[in-house]
Amino acid sequence: MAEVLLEVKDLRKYFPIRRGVMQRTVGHVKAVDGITFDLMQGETLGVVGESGCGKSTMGRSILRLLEPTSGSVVFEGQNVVGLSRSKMQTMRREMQIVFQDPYASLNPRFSIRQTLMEPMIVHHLYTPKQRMERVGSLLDRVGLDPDYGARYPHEFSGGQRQRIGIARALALNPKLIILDEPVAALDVSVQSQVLNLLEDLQEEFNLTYIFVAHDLSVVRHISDRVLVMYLGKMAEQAETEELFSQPLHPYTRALMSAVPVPDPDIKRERVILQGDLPSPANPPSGCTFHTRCPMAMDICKQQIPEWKEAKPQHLVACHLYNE
Amino acid sequence: MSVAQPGVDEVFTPHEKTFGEKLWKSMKEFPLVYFGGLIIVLLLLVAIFAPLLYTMDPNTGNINTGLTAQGLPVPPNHEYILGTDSMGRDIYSRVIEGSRISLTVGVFSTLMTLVIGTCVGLISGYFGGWVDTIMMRITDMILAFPFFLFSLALIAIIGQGLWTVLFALGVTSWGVMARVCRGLVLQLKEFEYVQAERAVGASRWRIMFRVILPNTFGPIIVLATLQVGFAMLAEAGLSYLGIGIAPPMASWGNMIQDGMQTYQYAPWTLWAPGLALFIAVLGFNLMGDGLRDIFDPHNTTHG
Repeated sequence: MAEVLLEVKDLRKYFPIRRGVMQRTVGHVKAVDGITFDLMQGETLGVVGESGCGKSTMGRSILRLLEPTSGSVVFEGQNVVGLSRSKMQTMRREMQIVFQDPYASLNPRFSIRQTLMEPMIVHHLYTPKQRMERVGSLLDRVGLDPDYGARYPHEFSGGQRQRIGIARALALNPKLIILDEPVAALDVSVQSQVLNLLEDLQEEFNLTYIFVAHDLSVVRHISDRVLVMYLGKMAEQAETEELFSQPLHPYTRALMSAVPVPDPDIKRERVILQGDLPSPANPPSGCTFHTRCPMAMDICKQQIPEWKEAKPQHLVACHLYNE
Repeated sequence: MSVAQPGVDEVFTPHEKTFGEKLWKSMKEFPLVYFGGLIIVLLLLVAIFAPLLYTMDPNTGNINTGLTAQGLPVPPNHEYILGTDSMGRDIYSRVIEGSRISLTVGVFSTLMTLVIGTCVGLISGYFGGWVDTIMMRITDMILAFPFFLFSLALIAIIGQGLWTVLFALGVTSWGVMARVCRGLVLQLKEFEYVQAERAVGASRWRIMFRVILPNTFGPIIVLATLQVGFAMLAEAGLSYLGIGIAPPMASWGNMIQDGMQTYQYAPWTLWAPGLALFIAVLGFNLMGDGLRDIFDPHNTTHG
């Protein structure tokens, strides 16, 4: 693997809960609570977890679409957190995002051409004529007819819109793209097309992806490494094959056993979690997973498990792996 | 994962209707909008071509034929289509002339409301925090202040006249517009396309004015249309009280006031300006209400 592109260290995003006339802060929703990982150039990191575990918030905090509460995001040696507005603007050329909902992510009043030109205009790139050409080649690259530029978003289907969203992210030639559940809102047949497109683009432009999803089979297909999140914290992180063949954390095991296998003869041990995701405003003590963990021990209620390497390149936060 | 060919997914070609077909369909569906629109267009034409429509000068009294031997207004006849007023002036010509004042006040004061209201709403909604708090408290004050009292004070300070009325209306009636705009901005700024614009690195002002503002236009246009009707009524009200448009100049408001003094024996002095005002305001209200129906996303029958 090449050099490190992105280092996220102890990233936290707390949303204050305000109450009363004076809007006093009475607590925090700990949406992202101490996330640390490195990302290599050209790598794809899959981020999985239940709805509401802070996956998307993490992605948006890295891009500073949400201001992180604390922690650092070092992109090519420069800490993005705390950068001035103008420096951040330059930085934004390097990192882009593709959103989940293709119906909400395109401005209904911009034609496709305007949407795709917008990043180039904002950054004063190219001449107007070059921009037109670039819009055409971007559309072509994501598998759309270059003549679609004059049309408006409502004239396209979900899959086509998602391709436009990807083209917009590519417009600035970024190095890192955060894919925030890019295929969750699409039909299964269209999903695979978009995934293939993403893989082709990664190879062609040497892109680095953070792929946020809750669909494990999709993550397994596209990721080099997977990070499992639970209630804003990291549960487990390993190479994709390692994680899928030997999940360590009980939560990961439960997730894995929920993936349907298209063969009725295979008998599997299913781990079914009881109860809902606890509130991130008032997380359980010790290991936040102990309330639902089938293997919970006494220590889990009192002590927060350490984040450490249980096997080479396989990190986990669980008391089961303390020798 | 199966391998599929990129680029060959769903081709989307809806049946294209001609413009005429669409227009006819929408006219059948929302007849009142088009009726209101027709009134507004006629009103505009009358105001623009007013000098061509006069039968005589609206501001000079006709001493010989405009008053009876007893010095009373003349009822409608072949010379004065709608009769004359207490000064012997032709009411028809004055009603035509009054449309200019009404429209000027209505349109320009609404433009002022529009500019102030959307700017306050945009900034307040987008920046939030203490900016929002301060601006919304000011809006509360504007909304709570009795409009006539404020206009009265303003006119006492800067003097009577068309521009005073316009200004008084403009600076006192942007409250609702600002509120509606702020509400829309709060909703729109969380949309993913606005977030995408931020991710691209666009400045806050660019996002506010180029991305968010155009998406608030639907409800804002409805409000503005209704505001024109309200402003016309308010101008008539001020003129009726004698603090709006000063007499020799014809305005529907001061014509009604003039008519009040003679209506017992010359009721036509009241009818003509009253009816004109009624029709004009009705036009704008029909249009505004109809547009609201068209823009309503729950109304699924159009499209």
